[in-house]
Amino acid sequence: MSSAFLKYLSNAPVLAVLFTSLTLTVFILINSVYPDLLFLGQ
Amino acid sequence: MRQLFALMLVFALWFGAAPSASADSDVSGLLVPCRDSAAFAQRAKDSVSATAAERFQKYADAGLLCGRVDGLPHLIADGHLNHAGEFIIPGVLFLYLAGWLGWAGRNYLQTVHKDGTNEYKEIQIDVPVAIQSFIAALFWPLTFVKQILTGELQEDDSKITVSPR
Repeated sequence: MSSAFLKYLSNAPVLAVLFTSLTLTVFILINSVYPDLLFLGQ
Repeated sequence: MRQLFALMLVFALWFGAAPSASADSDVSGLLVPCRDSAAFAQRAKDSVSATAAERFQKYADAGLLCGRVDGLPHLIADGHLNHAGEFIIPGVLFLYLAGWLGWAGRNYLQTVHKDGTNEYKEIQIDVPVAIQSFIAALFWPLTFVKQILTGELQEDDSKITVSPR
């Protein structure tokens, strides 16, 4: 990867969108395979 | 004298005016355990997907309280420990995560402000420094207590500007 591309990826709004999209995608994937892990009722 | 009246008012309001609404004593009968609620059982029967049906079963097994009429789960937020998973635990978890994020941002800004490249590094994030800030912020409650006790968290009085008196 070129250093200019890495510099672009380190741009704050680019990082923000990428990080949020990735986090939400991982959450959706985990939840569809193994749902309701965050349910804390005892 | 004013403080004494204020204290008396606090006691009077707390013990006098606030009714003790405890979901467990449930004098009104508005809330019943979900497993005993016919309306809840009907909703479970009407649910379409397998995930929804499992979810209804989880709610029934977890000791949630449901409205007697609506059959919907009601979270108990009054501090009862047998309903801790409904509000207390998620609430504390939220505070920890929000604090982690904020402390990580604070760490990052303090680090980049040291070497004089702060404006640039606020737009072009120094990713290795950012990752280090996130990792360091995992123990933020302990770091916070340490910084409060050593006075590191607060600025010196002499450095706080005040308007001319």
